[in-house]
Amino acid sequence: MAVPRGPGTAALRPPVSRGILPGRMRGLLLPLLLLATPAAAADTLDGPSVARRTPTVRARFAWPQQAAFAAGVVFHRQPERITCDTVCPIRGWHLQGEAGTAGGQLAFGWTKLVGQHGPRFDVLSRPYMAFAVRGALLRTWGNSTLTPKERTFAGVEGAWSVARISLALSVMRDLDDDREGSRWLVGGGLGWGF
Amino acid sequence: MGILSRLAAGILVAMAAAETAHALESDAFWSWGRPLRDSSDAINAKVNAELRAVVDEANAGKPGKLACTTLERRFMRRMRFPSFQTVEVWAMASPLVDRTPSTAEEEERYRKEWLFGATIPGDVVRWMPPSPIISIGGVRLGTDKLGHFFSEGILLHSRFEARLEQGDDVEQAEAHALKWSVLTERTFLGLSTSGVFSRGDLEANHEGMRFYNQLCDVDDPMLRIVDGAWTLTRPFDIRDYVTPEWDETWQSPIFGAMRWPRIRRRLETYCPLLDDPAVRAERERYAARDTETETERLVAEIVAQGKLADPEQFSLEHVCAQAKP
Repeated sequence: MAVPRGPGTAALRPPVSRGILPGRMRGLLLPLLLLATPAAAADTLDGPSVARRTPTVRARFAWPQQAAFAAGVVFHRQPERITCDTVCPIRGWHLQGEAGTAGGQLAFGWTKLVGQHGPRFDVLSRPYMAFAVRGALLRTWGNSTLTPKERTFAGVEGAWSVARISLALSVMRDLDDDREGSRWLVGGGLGWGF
Repeated sequence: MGILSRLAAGILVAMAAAETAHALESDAFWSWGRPLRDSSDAINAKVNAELRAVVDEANAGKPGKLACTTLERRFMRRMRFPSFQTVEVWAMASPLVDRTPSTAEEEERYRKEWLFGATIPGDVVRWMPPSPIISIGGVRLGTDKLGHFFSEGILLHSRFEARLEQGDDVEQAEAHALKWSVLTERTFLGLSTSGVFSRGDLEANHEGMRFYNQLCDVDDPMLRIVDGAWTLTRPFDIRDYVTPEWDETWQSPIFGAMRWPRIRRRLETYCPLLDDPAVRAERERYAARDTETETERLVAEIVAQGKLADPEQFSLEHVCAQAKP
């Protein structure tokens, strides 16, 4: 059955996302995330706010991951009557996993964005202006040009998307204390999405 | 390609993309025939809530130790978000604001049918969302005008203040700010990026500056200490600033040569609506309220110097007259 869209139909809509975490973890993580979300995110003029999970996607060429695809979820609060079917502002916590031909990354951090869902899916595929600062854990593999190929890094990533073009820069450090040579890695990527 | 080269290329692409952030456009013609409730009260409620939040924050500390300009800066910080401005985004999303298009389905239709719909996929205007149309005090305008009012208004206010400090009188400082506003619209905020020189944007910029000037810098400022506490002496009312000149169906933009042929074809589809009784009544109301504004005088001077195309050729009436066999 087609679900009607638009103002006043929020109660009829399916959940924005079913999430990517196991139910037990979600039970612990969500209250912590929402407690940490500033109260300013709630706009009393538009009525009571509710917890939302908005999925994000990103495809990019990055170093050292090379061709990579990421999926994530923004945990945020939003007035119940506002949806991201049309342009909406979001402030919240972004959890993102990325897999590429030469590495994968798990990142988590704060984000502020203006965007909207695409025409077919309730996924934020139209990020018009978005910023994020995230802690990230990176593991290289496969086609990696690093020596050795399989290394693990942890660090900070700054991400920016404008008009759907995504740019990210990260500074990371190899977690292996015995690694010879420089343990620092400056990475980055350019692509589509957020 | 080395890492630094890749990074530099990435930054260049991102900078180019950032330019598109200023490419928010709207098509108020599309709203013709679609009823719109007045959203002045909703916009006023939002802005006054932001102003009162700044006042409350100041009074929670040591109000006597704060200058009015500090409150002004705090308010400006609340208003800003790169490219999208706080009230503009709120007006695009809030159920309190009546707008068209208002649903995802209507917006997809708007994207196909609006003035900028007949452009190539790489057009910067199409990378950003089309601004919906709202009604303020009987004037139809795109929500992008709110962005100009609150965001560009800050920049003009800052230039106005700087010129006053350099010794200009109020008239000279205002004229300088307006010239700068026109310059931005002719270059990186308009004609050079999106191919649109919007006279409506200039009106909104100018009125935004007037609003920020009234916060602290006039004899009867909106923010003042009364009985030891910061007070909002009078509520903000958007209707004090919006005029028919903000409506781009009334005061047409000047389009760049590359963009104009496609815009013209789309404009011609609106010609039959000029005979619609509701449209005629709205234009009669506009005519009764229309005045010659400072920005109109300034643009007319630049047109007379041959530095800008005559805006009249881009008006719907002119296009429709030309299109008649």
